[in-house]
Amino acid sequence: MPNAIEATGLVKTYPGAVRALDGLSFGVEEGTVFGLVGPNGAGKSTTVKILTTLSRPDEGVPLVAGLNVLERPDDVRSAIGVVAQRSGLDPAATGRENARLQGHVYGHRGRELEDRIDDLFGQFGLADAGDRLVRTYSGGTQRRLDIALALVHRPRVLFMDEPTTGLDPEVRAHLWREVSRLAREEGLTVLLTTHYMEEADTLASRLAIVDRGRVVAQGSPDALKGELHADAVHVELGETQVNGEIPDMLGRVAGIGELIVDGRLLHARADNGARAVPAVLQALESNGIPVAAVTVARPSLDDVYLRYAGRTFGEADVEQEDNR
Amino acid sequence: MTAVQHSSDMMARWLRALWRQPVWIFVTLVQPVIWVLLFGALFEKVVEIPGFGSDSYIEFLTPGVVVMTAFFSATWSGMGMIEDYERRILDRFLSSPVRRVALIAGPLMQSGVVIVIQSVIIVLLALAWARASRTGLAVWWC
Repeated sequence: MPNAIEATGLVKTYPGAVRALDGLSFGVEEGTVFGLVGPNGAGKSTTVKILTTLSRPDEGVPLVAGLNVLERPDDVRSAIGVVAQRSGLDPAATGRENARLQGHVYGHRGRELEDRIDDLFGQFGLADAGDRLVRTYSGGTQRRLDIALALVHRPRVLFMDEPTTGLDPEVRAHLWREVSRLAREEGLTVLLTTHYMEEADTLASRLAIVDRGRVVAQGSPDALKGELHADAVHVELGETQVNGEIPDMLGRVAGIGELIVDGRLLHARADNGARAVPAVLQALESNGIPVAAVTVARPSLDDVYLRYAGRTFGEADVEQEDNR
Repeated sequence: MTAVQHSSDMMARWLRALWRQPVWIFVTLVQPVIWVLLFGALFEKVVEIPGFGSDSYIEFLTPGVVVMTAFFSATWSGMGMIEDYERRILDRFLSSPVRRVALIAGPLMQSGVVIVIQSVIIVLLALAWARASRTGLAVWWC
Protein backbone atom coordinates (compact mmCIF):
# COMPACT_ATOMS: atom_id res chain seq x y z
CA MET A 1 0.00 0.00 0.00
CA PRO A 2 1.24 3.50 -0.74
CA ASN A 3 2.20 5.82 2.06
CA ALA A 4 -0.34 8.49 2.97
CA ILE A 5 2.32 10.59 4.64
CA GLU A 6 5.97 10.64 3.71
CA ALA A 7 8.37 13.04 5.39
CA THR A 8 11.93 13.02 4.19
CA GLY A 9 14.79 14.84 5.87
CA LEU A 10 12.78 17.68 7.37
CA VAL A 11 14.89 20.47 8.84
CA LYS A 12 13.45 23.52 10.55
CA THR A 13 15.42 26.15 12.40
CA TYR A 14 13.68 28.87 14.37
CA PRO A 15 15.19 32.30 14.95
CA GLY A 16 17.78 32.16 17.71
CA ALA A 17 19.29 29.02 16.16
CA VAL A 18 16.81 26.66 17.79
CA ARG A 19 16.93 23.57 15.60
CA ALA A 20 13.41 22.21 16.01
CA LEU A 21 13.77 19.55 13.33
CA ASP A 22 17.08 18.00 12.45
CA GLY A 23 16.56 15.71 9.47
CA LEU A 24 13.32 14.05 10.54
CA SER A 25 12.00 11.28 8.30
CA PHE A 26 9.14 8.83 8.57
CA GLY A 27 6.35 7.28 6.51
CA VAL A 28 2.76 6.42 7.36
CA GLU A 29 0.92 3.65 5.54
CA GLU A 30 -2.57 4.43 4.30
CA GLY A 31 -5.40 3.51 6.66
CA THR A 32 -3.25 3.17 9.76
CA VAL A 33 -2.79 5.13 12.97
CA PHE A 34 0.76 6.36 13.35
CA GLY A 35 2.07 7.76 16.61
CA LEU A 36 4.72 10.44 16.83
CA VAL A 37 5.89 10.41 20.43
CA GLY A 38 8.47 12.34 22.38
CA PRO A 39 8.84 14.95 25.11
CA ASN A 40 7.63 18.53 24.79
CA GLY A 41 9.78 20.43 22.34
CA ALA A 42 10.99 17.31 20.55
CA GLY A 43 9.64 18.65 17.26
CA LYS A 44 6.27 16.91 17.07
CA SER A 45 4.17 20.03 16.68
CA THR A 46 6.59 21.56 14.20
CA THR A 47 6.29 18.40 12.09
CA VAL A 48 2.50 18.61 12.16
CA LYS A 49 2.61 22.30 11.24
CA ILE A 50 4.77 21.55 8.21
CA LEU A 51 2.58 18.66 7.07
CA THR A 52 -0.59 20.75 7.46
CA THR A 53 0.81 23.65 5.40
CA LEU A 54 1.10 26.05 8.35
CA SER A 55 4.88 26.20 8.26
CA ARG A 56 7.61 25.62 5.68
CA PRO A 57 10.65 23.45 6.33
CA ASP A 58 14.13 24.83 5.62
CA GLU A 59 15.00 21.54 3.97
CA GLY A 60 13.33 18.25 3.17
CA VAL A 61 10.27 17.01 1.33
CA PRO A 62 6.87 16.56 3.00
CA LEU A 63 4.32 14.48 1.06
CA VAL A 64 0.72 14.09 2.18
CA ALA A 65 -1.85 11.99 0.29
CA GLY A 66 0.73 11.65 -2.47
CA LEU A 67 1.01 15.43 -2.90
CA ASN A 68 3.99 17.64 -2.22
CA VAL A 69 2.88 19.97 0.57
CA LEU A 70 5.23 22.73 -0.60
CA GLU A 71 4.07 22.68 -4.22
CA ARG A 72 0.33 22.01 -3.91
CA PRO A 73 -0.71 23.29 -0.49
CA ASP A 74 -4.34 23.89 -1.51
CA ASP A 75 -4.87 20.31 -2.71
CA VAL A 76 -3.27 19.04 0.50
CA ARG A 77 -5.57 21.27 2.58
CA SER A 78 -8.64 19.74 0.93
CA ALA A 79 -7.42 16.23 1.68
CA ILE A 80 -6.57 16.65 5.36
CA GLY A 81 -8.32 17.30 8.64
CA VAL A 82 -6.48 18.91 11.52
CA VAL A 83 -7.08 18.70 15.26
CA ALA A 84 -4.64 21.24 16.65
CA GLN A 85 -2.94 21.02 20.00
CA ARG A 86 -5.00 23.90 21.27
CA SER A 87 -8.68 24.01 20.50
CA GLY A 88 -9.55 26.44 17.70
CA LEU A 89 -13.27 27.01 18.12
CA ASP A 90 -15.30 30.18 17.81
CA PRO A 91 -16.70 30.66 21.34
CA ALA A 92 -19.34 33.15 20.17
CA ALA A 93 -20.98 30.59 17.86
CA THR A 94 -22.80 27.34 18.61
CA GLY A 95 -21.26 23.96 17.91
CA ARG A 96 -23.44 23.55 14.85
CA GLU A 97 -22.56 27.01 13.50
CA ASN A 98 -18.87 26.20 13.90
CA ALA A 99 -19.35 22.94 12.02
CA ARG A 100 -21.47 24.59 9.32
CA LEU A 101 -18.85 27.24 8.58
CA GLN A 102 -16.18 24.55 8.50
CA GLY A 103 -18.28 22.66 5.94
CA HIS A 104 -18.83 25.78 3.81
CA VAL A 105 -15.10 26.37 3.68
CA TYR A 106 -14.65 22.93 2.10
CA GLY A 107 -17.48 23.57 -0.36
CA HIS A 108 -20.22 21.55 1.35
CA ARG A 109 -23.64 23.11 1.76
CA GLY A 110 -27.31 22.48 2.35
CA ARG A 111 -29.03 19.23 3.29
CA GLU A 112 -25.96 17.10 2.61
CA LEU A 113 -23.88 19.15 5.06
CA GLU A 114 -26.59 19.19 7.75
CA ASP A 115 -26.87 15.39 7.52
CA ARG A 116 -23.12 15.02 7.84
CA ILE A 117 -23.10 17.28 10.91
CA ASP A 118 -26.00 15.34 12.49
CA ASP A 119 -24.05 12.17 11.85
CA LEU A 120 -20.83 13.43 13.43
CA PHE A 121 -22.58 15.05 16.39
CA GLY A 122 -24.31 11.73 17.03
CA GLN A 123 -20.99 9.86 16.92
CA PHE A 124 -19.24 12.26 19.25
CA GLY A 125 -22.09 12.75 21.70
CA LEU A 126 -22.66 16.38 20.69
CA ALA A 127 -26.31 16.11 19.69
CA ASP A 128 -27.49 17.91 22.83
CA ALA A 129 -24.67 20.43 23.04
CA GLY A 130 -24.78 21.31 19.34
CA ASP A 131 -27.10 24.28 19.67
CA ARG A 132 -25.39 25.84 22.69
CA LEU A 133 -22.70 28.49 22.42
CA VAL A 134 -19.22 26.97 22.46
CA ARG A 135 -18.17 29.26 25.34
CA THR A 136 -20.44 27.19 27.61
CA TYR A 137 -18.71 23.89 26.69
CA SER A 138 -16.48 21.89 29.01
CA GLY A 139 -12.92 21.08 27.89
CA GLY A 140 -13.90 17.55 26.89
CA THR A 141 -16.88 18.70 24.84
CA GLN A 142 -14.75 21.31 23.07
CA ARG A 143 -12.24 18.63 22.18
CA ARG A 144 -14.93 16.38 20.76
CA LEU A 145 -16.20 19.28 18.67
CA ASP A 146 -12.63 19.96 17.47
CA ILE A 147 -12.47 16.42 16.16
CA ALA A 148 -15.95 16.55 14.63
CA LEU A 149 -14.95 19.77 12.79
CA ALA A 150 -11.82 18.13 11.43
CA LEU A 151 -13.96 15.32 9.98
CA VAL A 152 -16.82 17.34 8.43
CA HIS A 153 -15.40 17.15 4.90
CA ARG A 154 -14.39 13.45 5.12
CA PRO A 155 -10.63 13.96 4.96
CA ARG A 156 -8.33 11.17 3.83
CA VAL A 157 -5.65 12.02 6.38
CA LEU A 158 -6.30 13.24 9.91
CA PHE A 159 -3.68 15.02 11.99
CA MET A 160 -4.14 15.08 15.74
CA ASP A 161 -1.65 17.06 17.78
CA GLU A 162 -1.84 15.89 21.39
CA PRO A 163 -5.60 15.42 21.19
CA THR A 164 -6.14 14.13 24.73
CA THR A 165 -3.84 16.39 26.75
CA GLY A 166 -5.78 17.74 29.72
CA LEU A 167 -8.79 15.46 29.32
CA ASP A 168 -10.19 13.25 32.05
CA PRO A 169 -9.64 9.48 31.66
CA GLU A 170 -13.21 8.74 30.66
CA VAL A 171 -13.27 11.24 27.81
CA ARG A 172 -9.83 10.08 26.75
CA ALA A 173 -10.92 6.44 26.55
CA HIS A 174 -13.94 7.50 24.49
CA LEU A 175 -11.77 9.42 22.02
CA TRP A 176 -9.41 6.48 21.71
CA ARG A 177 -12.30 4.23 20.77
CA GLU A 178 -13.55 6.73 18.18
CA VAL A 179 -10.13 7.21 16.59
CA SER A 180 -9.50 3.47 16.29
CA ARG A 181 -12.93 3.02 14.79
CA LEU A 182 -12.32 5.73 12.18
CA ALA A 183 -9.11 4.10 11.03
CA ARG A 184 -10.63 0.63 11.03
CA GLU A 185 -14.00 1.33 9.42
CA GLU A 186 -13.45 4.38 7.28
CA GLY A 187 -9.90 3.74 6.15
CA LEU A 188 -8.75 7.07 7.54
CA THR A 189 -5.02 7.59 7.98
CA VAL A 190 -4.28 9.18 11.34
CA LEU A 191 -1.10 10.88 12.45
CA LEU A 192 -1.21 11.28 16.19
CA THR A 193 1.31 13.10 18.31
CA THR A 194 1.35 12.48 22.01
CA HIS A 195 3.59 12.39 25.00
CA TYR A 196 1.52 9.70 26.63
CA MET A 197 3.25 6.43 25.77
CA GLU A 198 0.13 4.63 26.88
CA GLU A 199 -1.87 6.44 24.22
CA ALA A 200 0.56 5.53 21.45
CA ASP A 201 0.57 1.93 22.69
CA THR A 202 -3.24 1.69 22.57
CA LEU A 203 -3.87 3.49 19.30
CA ALA A 204 -0.90 3.36 17.00
CA SER A 205 -0.01 0.39 14.85
CA ARG A 206 3.37 1.99 14.21
CA LEU A 207 5.18 4.77 15.95
CA ALA A 208 8.28 6.87 15.82
CA ILE A 209 10.02 8.16 18.91
CA VAL A 210 11.23 11.70 18.33
CA ASP A 211 13.84 13.48 20.37
CA ARG A 212 15.62 16.75 19.57
CA GLY A 213 14.16 16.89 16.07
CA ARG A 214 15.15 13.39 14.99
CA VAL A 215 13.51 9.99 14.89
CA VAL A 216 15.44 7.89 17.39
CA ALA A 217 13.42 4.70 17.03
CA GLN A 218 10.66 3.49 14.74
CA GLY A 219 8.46 0.42 14.51
CA SER A 220 5.35 -1.22 15.90
CA PRO A 221 4.91 -0.86 19.67
CA ASP A 222 5.43 -4.59 20.15
CA ALA A 223 8.55 -4.71 18.01
CA LEU A 224 10.03 -1.76 19.88
CA LYS A 225 9.33 -3.39 23.21
CA GLY A 226 10.62 -6.73 21.97
CA GLU A 227 13.95 -5.20 20.98
CA LEU A 228 14.69 -4.48 24.61
CA HIS A 229 14.95 -8.20 25.43
CA ALA A 230 14.58 -7.40 29.07
CA ASP A 231 12.38 -6.65 32.01
CA ALA A 232 12.70 -3.39 33.86
CA VAL A 233 13.54 -3.49 37.55
CA HIS A 234 12.83 -0.26 39.37
CA VAL A 235 14.15 0.12 42.90
CA GLU A 236 13.26 3.02 45.13
CA LEU A 237 15.80 3.52 47.89
CA GLY A 238 14.90 4.64 51.39
CA GLU A 239 16.33 7.77 53.01
CA THR A 240 20.00 7.39 52.41
CA GLN A 241 23.09 9.01 51.04
CA VAL A 242 23.17 7.66 47.52
CA ASN A 243 26.76 7.25 46.45
CA GLY A 244 28.64 6.22 43.37
CA GLU A 245 29.26 2.71 44.66
CA ILE A 246 25.82 1.49 43.72
CA PRO A 247 26.58 0.77 40.05
CA ASP A 248 29.71 -1.17 41.13
CA MET A 249 27.78 -2.99 43.76
CA LEU A 250 25.01 -4.11 41.45
CA GLY A 251 27.20 -4.61 38.44
CA ARG A 252 28.44 -7.76 40.13
CA VAL A 253 24.93 -9.15 40.54
CA ALA A 254 24.23 -11.80 37.95
CA GLY A 255 21.61 -11.04 35.30
CA ILE A 256 21.63 -7.24 35.65
CA GLY A 257 22.22 -5.39 32.41
CA GLU A 258 22.12 -1.63 32.02
CA LEU A 259 21.71 0.46 35.15
CA ILE A 260 20.62 4.07 35.50
CA VAL A 261 20.75 5.88 38.85
CA ASP A 262 18.29 8.76 39.03
CA GLY A 263 18.33 10.33 42.49
CA ARG A 264 16.88 7.74 44.80
CA LEU A 265 15.57 5.66 41.92
CA LEU A 266 17.44 2.84 40.27
CA HIS A 267 16.35 1.65 36.84
CA ALA A 268 17.92 -1.61 35.79
CA ARG A 269 17.41 -4.08 32.98
CA ALA A 270 17.42 -7.77 33.68
CA ASP A 271 16.87 -10.75 31.41
CA ASN A 272 14.60 -12.14 34.02
CA GLY A 273 13.45 -9.47 36.44
CA ALA A 274 11.79 -11.69 39.04
CA ARG A 275 14.86 -13.82 39.41
CA ALA A 276 17.21 -10.84 39.72
CA VAL A 277 15.28 -9.10 42.51
CA PRO A 278 16.46 -11.21 45.50
CA ALA A 279 20.09 -10.78 44.51
CA VAL A 280 19.66 -7.04 44.03
CA LEU A 281 17.97 -6.67 47.41
CA GLN A 282 20.63 -8.71 49.11
CA ALA A 283 23.41 -6.67 47.56
CA LEU A 284 21.81 -3.40 48.69
CA GLU A 285 20.90 -4.56 52.21
CA SER A 286 24.29 -6.06 52.88
CA ASN A 287 25.78 -2.66 52.13
CA GLY A 288 23.36 -0.98 54.51
CA ILE A 289 21.21 0.72 51.87
CA PRO A 290 17.52 0.54 52.80
CA VAL A 291 15.02 -0.21 50.06
CA ALA A 292 11.57 1.42 50.05
CA ALA A 293 9.99 -0.26 47.04
CA VAL A 294 10.78 -2.66 44.22
CA THR A 295 8.84 -3.10 41.00
CA VAL A 296 9.42 -5.47 38.14
CA ALA A 297 7.78 -4.61 34.85
CA ARG A 298 7.61 -6.11 31.42
CA PRO A 299 9.06 -3.59 28.99
CA SER A 300 6.75 -0.63 28.40
CA LEU A 301 7.04 2.06 25.76
CA ASP A 302 8.41 4.31 28.50
CA ASP A 303 11.31 1.90 28.75
CA VAL A 304 11.73 2.01 25.00
CA TYR A 305 11.92 5.77 25.19
CA LEU A 306 14.32 5.63 28.13
CA ARG A 307 16.50 3.30 26.16
CA TYR A 308 16.65 5.40 23.00
CA ALA A 309 16.79 8.86 24.43
CA GLY A 310 18.72 7.91 27.56
CA ARG A 311 16.58 9.98 29.90
CA THR A 312 13.03 9.96 31.14
CA PHE A 313 10.26 12.17 29.81
CA GLY A 314 10.24 14.32 32.91
CA GLU A 315 13.92 15.11 32.57
CA ALA A 316 13.62 15.93 28.89
CA ASP A 317 10.80 18.33 29.68
CA VAL A 318 12.79 20.02 32.41
CA GLU A 319 15.71 20.37 30.05
CA GLN A 320 13.45 22.03 27.51
CA GLU A 321 12.38 24.57 30.07
CA ASP A 322 15.99 25.24 31.03
CA ASN A 323 16.79 26.00 27.44
CA ARG A 324 14.17 28.69 27.29
CA MET B 1 -16.65 32.72 -7.13
CA THR B 2 -15.33 30.67 -4.21
CA ALA B 3 -13.65 33.78 -2.88
CA VAL B 4 -16.96 35.69 -2.86
CA GLN B 5 -18.75 32.76 -1.28
CA HIS B 6 -16.11 32.33 1.43
CA SER B 7 -16.05 36.08 2.11
CA SER B 8 -19.79 36.19 2.65
CA ASP B 9 -19.59 33.07 4.87
CA MET B 10 -16.98 34.84 6.98
CA MET B 11 -19.00 38.06 7.06
CA ALA B 12 -22.04 36.09 8.19
CA ARG B 13 -19.99 34.67 11.04
CA TRP B 14 -18.92 38.14 12.20
CA LEU B 15 -22.36 39.65 11.81
CA ARG B 16 -23.86 36.83 13.86
CA ALA B 17 -21.36 37.49 16.64
CA LEU B 18 -22.33 41.17 16.51
CA TRP B 19 -26.02 40.31 16.51
CA ARG B 20 -25.49 38.36 19.74
CA GLN B 21 -23.63 41.26 21.34
CA PRO B 22 -25.06 44.39 19.69
CA VAL B 23 -23.68 46.47 22.57
CA TRP B 24 -20.51 46.90 20.47
CA ILE B 25 -22.39 49.03 17.98
CA PHE B 26 -23.18 51.44 20.80
CA VAL B 27 -19.82 51.40 22.57
CA THR B 28 -18.21 53.10 19.58
CA LEU B 29 -21.21 55.42 19.34
CA VAL B 30 -20.75 56.98 22.79
CA GLN B 31 -18.10 59.45 21.64
CA PRO B 32 -19.79 60.71 18.45
CA VAL B 33 -23.08 61.10 20.28
CA ILE B 34 -21.39 63.24 22.92
CA TRP B 35 -19.78 65.29 20.15
CA VAL B 36 -23.00 65.90 18.32
CA LEU B 37 -24.94 66.81 21.44
CA LEU B 38 -22.23 68.72 23.30
CA PHE B 39 -20.48 70.57 20.49
CA GLY B 40 -23.71 70.92 18.59
CA ALA B 41 -25.08 72.96 21.48
CA LEU B 42 -21.82 74.63 22.47
CA PHE B 43 -20.86 76.04 19.08
CA GLU B 44 -24.33 76.76 17.87
CA LYS B 45 -23.50 80.45 17.68
CA VAL B 46 -20.35 79.89 15.57
CA VAL B 47 -22.48 80.22 12.45
CA GLU B 48 -22.99 83.90 13.24
CA ILE B 49 -19.31 84.65 12.59
CA PRO B 50 -19.14 86.28 9.15
CA GLY B 51 -17.95 83.98 6.37
CA PHE B 52 -18.66 80.71 8.21
CA GLY B 53 -20.25 79.25 5.11
CA SER B 54 -23.15 77.39 6.71
CA ASP B 55 -26.13 78.60 8.59
CA SER B 56 -26.50 75.56 10.85
CA TYR B 57 -23.60 74.34 12.95
CA ILE B 58 -25.09 70.85 13.39
CA GLU B 59 -25.29 70.56 9.59
CA PHE B 60 -21.62 71.52 9.45
CA LEU B 61 -20.56 69.16 12.23
CA THR B 62 -22.46 65.96 11.47
CA PRO B 63 -20.66 64.80 8.29
CA GLY B 64 -17.33 65.18 10.11
CA VAL B 65 -18.57 63.14 13.04
CA VAL B 66 -19.83 60.42 10.71
CA VAL B 67 -16.42 60.17 9.05
CA MET B 68 -14.60 60.13 12.39
CA THR B 69 -16.88 57.37 13.64
CA ALA B 70 -16.23 55.35 10.52
CA PHE B 71 -12.49 55.67 11.15
CA PHE B 72 -12.73 54.71 14.81
CA SER B 73 -14.98 51.75 14.07
CA ALA B 74 -12.65 50.57 11.35
CA THR B 75 -9.69 50.54 13.74
CA TRP B 76 -11.60 47.98 15.81
CA SER B 77 -12.16 45.62 12.91
CA GLY B 78 -8.63 44.19 13.19
CA MET B 79 -9.28 43.21 16.80
CA GLY B 80 -11.44 40.26 15.78
CA MET B 81 -8.60 38.87 13.73
CA ILE B 82 -6.16 39.19 16.63
CA GLU B 83 -8.62 37.28 18.79
CA ASP B 84 -8.91 34.61 16.10
CA TYR B 85 -5.16 34.35 16.02
CA GLU B 86 -4.89 33.98 19.78
CA ARG B 87 -7.69 31.44 19.95
CA ARG B 88 -6.02 29.42 17.15
CA ILE B 89 -9.14 29.84 15.01
CA LEU B 90 -6.94 31.40 12.36
CA ASP B 91 -4.72 28.29 12.29
CA ARG B 92 -7.79 26.15 11.73
CA PHE B 93 -8.81 28.27 8.75
CA LEU B 94 -5.27 28.49 7.39
CA SER B 95 -4.97 24.72 7.26
CA SER B 96 -8.25 24.59 5.31
CA PRO B 97 -8.72 25.55 1.65
CA VAL B 98 -10.54 28.78 2.56
CA ARG B 99 -9.63 31.60 0.16
CA ARG B 100 -7.17 33.80 2.04
CA VAL B 101 -8.84 36.98 0.89
CA ALA B 102 -12.03 35.90 2.70
CA LEU B 103 -10.25 36.06 6.06
CA ILE B 104 -9.67 39.79 5.48
CA ALA B 105 -12.76 40.60 3.45
CA GLY B 106 -15.18 38.95 5.90
CA PRO B 107 -14.46 41.18 8.91
CA LEU B 108 -14.03 44.16 6.57
CA MET B 109 -17.52 43.72 5.17
CA GLN B 110 -18.91 43.32 8.68
CA SER B 111 -17.20 46.59 9.61
CA GLY B 112 -18.87 48.21 6.61
CA VAL B 113 -22.29 47.09 7.81
CA VAL B 114 -21.58 48.35 11.34
CA ILE B 115 -20.44 51.73 10.04
CA VAL B 116 -23.56 52.16 7.91
CA ILE B 117 -25.74 51.43 10.95
CA GLN B 118 -23.76 53.87 13.08
CA SER B 119 -23.86 56.59 10.43
CA VAL B 120 -27.62 56.27 10.16
CA ILE B 121 -27.96 56.55 13.95
CA ILE B 122 -25.77 59.69 14.05
CA VAL B 123 -27.58 61.37 11.17
CA LEU B 124 -30.98 60.64 12.72
CA LEU B 125 -29.75 61.96 16.06
CA ALA B 126 -28.40 65.14 14.47
CA LEU B 127 -31.69 65.68 12.62
CA ALA B 128 -33.61 65.29 15.85
CA TRP B 129 -31.21 67.65 17.62
CA ALA B 130 -31.46 70.28 14.93
CA ARG B 131 -35.22 70.09 15.01
CA ALA B 132 -35.28 70.29 18.79
CA SER B 133 -33.01 73.33 18.90
CA ARG B 134 -35.14 75.11 16.30
CA THR B 135 -38.27 74.57 18.32
CA GLY B 136 -36.49 75.70 21.46
CA LEU B 137 -36.71 72.31 23.10
CA ALA B 138 -32.96 72.18 23.50
CA VAL B 139 -33.03 75.07 25.89
CA TRP B 140 -35.51 73.21 27.97
CA TRP B 141 -33.34 70.03 27.86
CA CYS B 142 -30.17 71.76 28.95
